[in-house]
Amino acid sequence: MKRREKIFVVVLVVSFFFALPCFGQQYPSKPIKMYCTHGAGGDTDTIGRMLASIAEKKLGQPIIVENKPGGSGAVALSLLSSEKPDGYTIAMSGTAALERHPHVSQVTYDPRKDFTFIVNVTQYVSSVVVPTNKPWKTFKEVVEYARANPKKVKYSAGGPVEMGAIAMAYVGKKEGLQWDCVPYKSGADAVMAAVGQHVDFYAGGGAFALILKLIEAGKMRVVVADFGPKRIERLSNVPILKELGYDFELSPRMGVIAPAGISADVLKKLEIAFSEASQDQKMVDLLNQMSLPPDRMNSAEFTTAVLKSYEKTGMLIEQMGMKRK
Amino acid sequence: MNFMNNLYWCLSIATEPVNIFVCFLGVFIGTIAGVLPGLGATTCIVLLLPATYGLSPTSAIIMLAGIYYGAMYGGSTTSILLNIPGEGSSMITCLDGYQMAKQGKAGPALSIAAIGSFIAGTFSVVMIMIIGPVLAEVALKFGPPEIFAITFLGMILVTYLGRGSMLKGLIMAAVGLMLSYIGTDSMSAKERYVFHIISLKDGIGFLPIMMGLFGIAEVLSNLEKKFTEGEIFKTTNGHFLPNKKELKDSSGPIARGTLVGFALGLIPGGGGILSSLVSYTMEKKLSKYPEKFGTGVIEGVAGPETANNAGAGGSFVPLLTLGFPCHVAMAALLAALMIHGVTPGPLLYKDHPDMFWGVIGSMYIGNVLLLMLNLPLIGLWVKLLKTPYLILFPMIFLFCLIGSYSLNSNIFDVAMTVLFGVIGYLMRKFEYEPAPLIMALILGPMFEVALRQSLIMSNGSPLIFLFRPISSVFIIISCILLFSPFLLKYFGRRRPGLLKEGGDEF
Repeated sequence: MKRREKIFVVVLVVSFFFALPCFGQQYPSKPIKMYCTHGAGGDTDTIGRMLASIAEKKLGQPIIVENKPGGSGAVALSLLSSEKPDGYTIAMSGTAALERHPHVSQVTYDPRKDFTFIVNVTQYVSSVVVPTNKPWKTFKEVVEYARANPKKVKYSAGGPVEMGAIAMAYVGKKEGLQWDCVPYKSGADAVMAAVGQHVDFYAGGGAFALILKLIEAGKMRVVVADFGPKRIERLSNVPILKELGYDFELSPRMGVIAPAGISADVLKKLEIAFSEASQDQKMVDLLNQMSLPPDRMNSAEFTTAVLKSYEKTGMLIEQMGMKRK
Repeated sequence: MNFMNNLYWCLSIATEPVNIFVCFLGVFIGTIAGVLPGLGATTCIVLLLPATYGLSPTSAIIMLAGIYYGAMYGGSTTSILLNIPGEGSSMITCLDGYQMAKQGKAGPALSIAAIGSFIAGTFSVVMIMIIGPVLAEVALKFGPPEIFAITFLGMILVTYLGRGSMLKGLIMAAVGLMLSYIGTDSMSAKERYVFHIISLKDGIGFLPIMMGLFGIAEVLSNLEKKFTEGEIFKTTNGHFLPNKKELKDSSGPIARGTLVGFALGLIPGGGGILSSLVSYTMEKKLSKYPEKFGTGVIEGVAGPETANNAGAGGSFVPLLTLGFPCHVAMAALLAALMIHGVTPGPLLYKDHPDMFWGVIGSMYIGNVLLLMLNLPLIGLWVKLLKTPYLILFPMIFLFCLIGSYSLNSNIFDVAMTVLFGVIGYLMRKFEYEPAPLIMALILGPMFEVALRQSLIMSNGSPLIFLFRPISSVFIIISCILLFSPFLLKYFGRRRPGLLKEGGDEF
């Protein structure tokens, strides 16, 4: 071999070694993928993206958000549960698919075993809104109308087991109503369906910021604000579901999760990064802007909370006869 | 009066040096994103979001919006040159654009695409300014039954895409539909045809399949021909701009494409794909020589390219006037707005007039910049085609494979591209067109979900589609088109080209 060729071969071989995967590098050494249980533009997505943009600076690697909407989050969680627990795939998740879906239909994951809970960030705010040209001014009027017109009233929700879907199913059962849920891919889509009057009203969490804007613009009227334990500040003159006589409570948490089995080391890094991110001023401002309350929990608290409400939700769903056989 | 005031205002914001700069950056990156298959506008917007944090909200949105319509311009380039659609909506441009390139007319094809896109872009901006809110109300009227009706029409129209028999087109559309069912059902989260293969849980993406059926299959066929026929691309005849005749022929398609495209862009999910599909089939039907479509007629490029850019403009309407994103890229823009502290809603023009008018103004500027950017580059692109095919084809292969892998970093997608490349090659041998398959694959999920939602709304009655004015119009048009070959045969009217398509071979 001529000399030039020998040098070339040496350079080639040496450069090959630079291309080998680098073992023993610190986590994270490549970008992290974050699934989002809901479609782009919704509450989960917006919070997730803001969180990702703050946390990625702390972790030193980009966090790329990928929306995997469908089944109120079941699609995303299904994908997440089969990913490698190496900390490079995580998810921004609402609790629908974690706590409600498994009781209602068959899913490929078990929330008690397949996930690690990293941090909780906030809560969804739910509401029931009707288009302004409908005559109903209170929720009671809607219920009465539905009672008088069985099989006529349709409401939209951001998925088959979203807060709205379950809450309205509960009300329907209690009041003996025959109304149906038309599931959409995201809260925003479902809200717009109500604005366009393709359904009679929208119920649920998600897209709350959009709802507030629509109320402000006079396109929608709110008849219930929140399915939780107390009224919302922004809409303090609107009753909560409990006050209307429905003893119903579903946990509306939103947080970051990962597949089960990630190492304690990686978990700690993620926990710290996201914890700090959720306290960052930009995050606080965004939550304010969206009227969502902060609900910060670390890994241990989040895990306990989810497992507890998983059981509680299961009992509620069984009560309502929606539990799968 | 009011229009001129607004025009002055929005241009004054858009022509601030910072904004011109970020607009240019945005459309430039967008063009690259459109050219590279696999890298889409949405991904770029999302990746560059953090880069915009230092900018004012107006400048940030100007840049990100620029990426979106830049991608619409860029997508046509690889479609015409290499038969590889850069974006779903550029696929239709491949049909005639690539044939034109093969005949040495790549220059005129590329430039008419740029010119048409410019006209469409400018038109949609003017429309947004004048009747934005009204258009938003129209968009709202599209509920599940309307979306079903229009995708139903789309399914029928896909069979007009090919040159072959309608039957083969329908078969391909059916296959595309079936492929679209693979994955996890969005309404119930049940898995369908997944067979416990994790990579199938989310379905087979249309991009790997498209790159295989168009890109890889094309290369395989060309290689075969090379050993039998010789040079693939005829040398160009020298001019890069369209001649007088071509401009005249394109004027009709451009005008129609703009209107149709913009209207369809308003529909949630419609955007570029339906726009270009409807435009192509409309031009084919209106043309005096429909049988020539697919062999390289300029109308087949002018119409769809214009329509998909107009559709891109139309997609902005629901976001700017209602705060509602009707397309994934718009949703990414929405997230960007929220992160910058702006919550879009129906009162955006009142609460943040600077941003509202600034974005609109930048769309004018962006269109001009894109035209200035793309026209000179045409010479460069055409030179690319002069590369000997023996060197070009491995690069195309690499292009497709890397594009596939870049989607999800999943080797499964690459395998799909290769598999469908082989399938595509066989399809060509047996004269089955790939376009209907891809269209059905893309429209399939929308089609199915809209149908199920509509049936819930109507308590199971399919008559809902006929009771609602908008959806019934589309259903009726679809039925007429579907049965037109029978009707024409029965009534004995002879129209050149049409009967050959659907009548005899059916």
